[in-house]
Amino acid sequence: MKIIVCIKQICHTYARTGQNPESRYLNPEDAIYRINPYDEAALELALRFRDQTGPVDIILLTLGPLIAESELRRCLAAGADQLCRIVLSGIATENDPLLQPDPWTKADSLARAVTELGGGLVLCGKESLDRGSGQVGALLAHLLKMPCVSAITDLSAGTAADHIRVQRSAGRGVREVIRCPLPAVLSADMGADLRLPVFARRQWALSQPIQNLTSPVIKRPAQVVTARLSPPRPRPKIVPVPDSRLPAYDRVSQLLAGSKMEKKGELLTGSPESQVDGIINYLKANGFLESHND
Amino acid sequence: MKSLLTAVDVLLVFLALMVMSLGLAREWSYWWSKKESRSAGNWAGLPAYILQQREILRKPAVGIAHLCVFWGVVLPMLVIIAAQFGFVLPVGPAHTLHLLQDIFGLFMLLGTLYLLRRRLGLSSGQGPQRTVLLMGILLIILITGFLAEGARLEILYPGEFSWFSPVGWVFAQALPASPLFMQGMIRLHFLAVCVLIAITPFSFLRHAVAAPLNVFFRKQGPRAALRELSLETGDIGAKSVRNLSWKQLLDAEACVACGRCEENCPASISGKLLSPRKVMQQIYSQAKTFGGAQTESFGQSGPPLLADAISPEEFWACTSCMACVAQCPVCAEPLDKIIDLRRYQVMGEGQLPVEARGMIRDLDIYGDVQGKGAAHREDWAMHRAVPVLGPEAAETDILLWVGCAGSYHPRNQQTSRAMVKILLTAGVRFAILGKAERCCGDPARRLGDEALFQRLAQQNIEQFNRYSAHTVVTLCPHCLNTLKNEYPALGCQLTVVHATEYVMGLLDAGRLQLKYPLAKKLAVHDACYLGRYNGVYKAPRQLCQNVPGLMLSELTRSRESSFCCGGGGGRMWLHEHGGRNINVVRAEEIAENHVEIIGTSCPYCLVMLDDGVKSLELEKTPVVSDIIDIVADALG
Repeated sequence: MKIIVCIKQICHTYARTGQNPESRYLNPEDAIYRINPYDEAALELALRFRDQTGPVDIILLTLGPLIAESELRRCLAAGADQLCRIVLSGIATENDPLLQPDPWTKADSLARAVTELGGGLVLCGKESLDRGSGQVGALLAHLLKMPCVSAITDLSAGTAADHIRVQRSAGRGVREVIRCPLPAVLSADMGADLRLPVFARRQWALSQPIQNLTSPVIKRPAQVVTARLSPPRPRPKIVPVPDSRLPAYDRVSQLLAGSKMEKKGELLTGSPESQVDGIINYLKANGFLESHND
Repeated sequence: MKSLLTAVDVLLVFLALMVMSLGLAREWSYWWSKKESRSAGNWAGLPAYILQQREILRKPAVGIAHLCVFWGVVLPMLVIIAAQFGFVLPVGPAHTLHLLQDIFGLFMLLGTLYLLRRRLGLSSGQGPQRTVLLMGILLIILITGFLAEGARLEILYPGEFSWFSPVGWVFAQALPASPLFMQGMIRLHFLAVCVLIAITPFSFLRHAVAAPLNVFFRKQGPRAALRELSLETGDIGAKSVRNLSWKQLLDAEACVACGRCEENCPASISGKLLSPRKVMQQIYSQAKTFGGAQTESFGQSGPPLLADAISPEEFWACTSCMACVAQCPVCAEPLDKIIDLRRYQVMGEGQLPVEARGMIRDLDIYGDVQGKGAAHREDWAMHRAVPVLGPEAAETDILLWVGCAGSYHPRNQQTSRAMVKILLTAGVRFAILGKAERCCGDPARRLGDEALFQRLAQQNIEQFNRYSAHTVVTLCPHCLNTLKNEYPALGCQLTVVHATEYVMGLLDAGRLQLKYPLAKKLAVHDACYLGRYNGVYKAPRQLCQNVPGLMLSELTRSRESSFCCGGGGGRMWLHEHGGRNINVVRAEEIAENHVEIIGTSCPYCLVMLDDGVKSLELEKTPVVSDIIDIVADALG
């Protein structure tokens, strides 16, 4: 049997937005390219399944430009056998590698690749950390005409050869065990941490070729369309409160200029003596206290 | 004195020497065959090491006994060898030498008896019982020597008091003036000496040759440096004893299992399974059993794993505090072997303790131990006059290396800001790397992920080269040790100083005035990576003395024998299984010393000790504070 694990490369960012509209207000150095952690969990479940049942081929399937190649190879090193990539044609990813088709198109490309590779079990994350539509798994099952279990937390061999046992959380601490016929599409919830690849496997994974599958984007009539996209807002500029002692004209022009003058505030630390001295110095410096230098 | 030796005796001595040298050659063939071409030894300090034995004298009673036995063997040996070559002294000096020999003999007798009694009194777990046989032979040599001397005195000077041989004279009182008895004793004495020489390679006495050799070949670079791995060649740590370097094997050869490492190991003291002595002894016995064997003889599974003899629970308990290395009287280092075991466990087996996996993954993806991302690395400096190294801030005196703790941990962010305040007050032109800084790699390296360490280090070195940084000031002793001692092997030479040293320099130069008093009793907790690793003991103490009103006291264990906080070696991220928590052991010591403030200079110590003292629930909890914070507060 072949297990196909769909893994998505995402641009994850912990950063706050920057100032440059070119980069959609994301500073490029703040972006972290990694594999969607839900997909990593799916891979770990596949690896555990193999540990339990014996030799099966685990094929990694990814879509679009290689934005996180080292992380893809890390997944390969963790125990997968082969890494395939669907090259999207018909979508201009050359200018912006982060451009993504809609979930329907993605599921369509993946479904054709799964048929081509002959997968008996398809695993993916229940959603991605960047778009989070949560649709690809279900749409994939629909296109492949396979049963689908979403947000699974455990996977093991069933009593019969053509069945598997799947565990998922049913809310309020209840776990449900589902008997699912093969072939099937399963989407995984977070929980299983991807194992640490050993060094020799890492070296091996670096030398492995990435097999390209070409997939023309077929425009299926979509029932839902994106009406509008709003880019993130730029980081707000700090415009300090204008100095109230200035005349109105100056204050307005200060506001319009987005003055760099920052409001100063300092927290005094240290011993009580030093704090008192600090307060007195401040009051003197700002003319609230007159200094008596007799 | 005329020559005492007959042809048979010469043959016996020759035989004994033959057995010794052949035995040594056989026992040492394994590590000797691995030895790199002409590894440079160091003569400096070796004579003093052998003659003075300062390292052994750190434990006075045992040290003095050892010194007595050593000189008791060496002096008569020299005299006898000299006598064989017809070296004759006038009667006066000869008698003085005789007296000296006699006294040394007595001291040696006392020393041997003391050591033997001590050995018999200990349980087998605490020390090598195999020394007992050797002690027995030494006793035979001594007693037969004195008996022969007594008989000789009785024959030559019957009834007289021989001032040059008082001990012999005492023996003479009870002995017959029989030449036969004397001859018998001399034969027995001589035979025992021959046996002693012959069994050197196979007995505890091996250390008499191996220990000076190990000192001769001791590491020349930074203290307790880890073995450099060449990952490309598949060298990923110690799977079996055959992956260890010749120096590591020589270390094990020289180890006498005296147990000083164990007595000072925070893991052993707090009741963990780890014993550095056991690590050394297991490596020794595996090297003896499997080292020289043919690779084919192990079959499919290869030579036995080191981890079979030293369990993961043991080697993950190490805090890499270096106490074992600092205390070892023969310059053996259990620490680098423990790290090598971890390396194989992580890179060869993928078996990192589960608690640390998240942290290593964060390091991998985000480049910091907290997983907050490089984008947030300079958040602590937001809206403050902290220049970031770049084209604008090209001309700087120092590069301030903030480190992960100083960048992200709220408590240590305060210390970073305090440091900035000090630097601004002193008018130092400084800059930080800002978002370009990554973790120095120390947690990854100590947890065995050498590949990750090298990647992080390369990223940082690139930044240093890009801005041609020359002087780096670090806030964290772990960063200090990595940048100063471990980056040079990766091709990055920097002047690295710790913040306490640098600030002390500013104070000495009169660029800072500490005016606000702090009338408290403070003790300095020496961080392992600052003290033992880098020998910085003075600067933190001097800084505290410069704060008006601060009363400096010392903890029971301080400086070279300071006790670890339990956070080093990646243990910051691991749970403590078994025994007590190391930080609580240290906290109790702090409580016993009745100090109000603990001054430390390491972010790990800060967290660990703070947790420790709070968990004691004392009436008055000591405050754990970074010394940089204390200095900045005194600036006003």
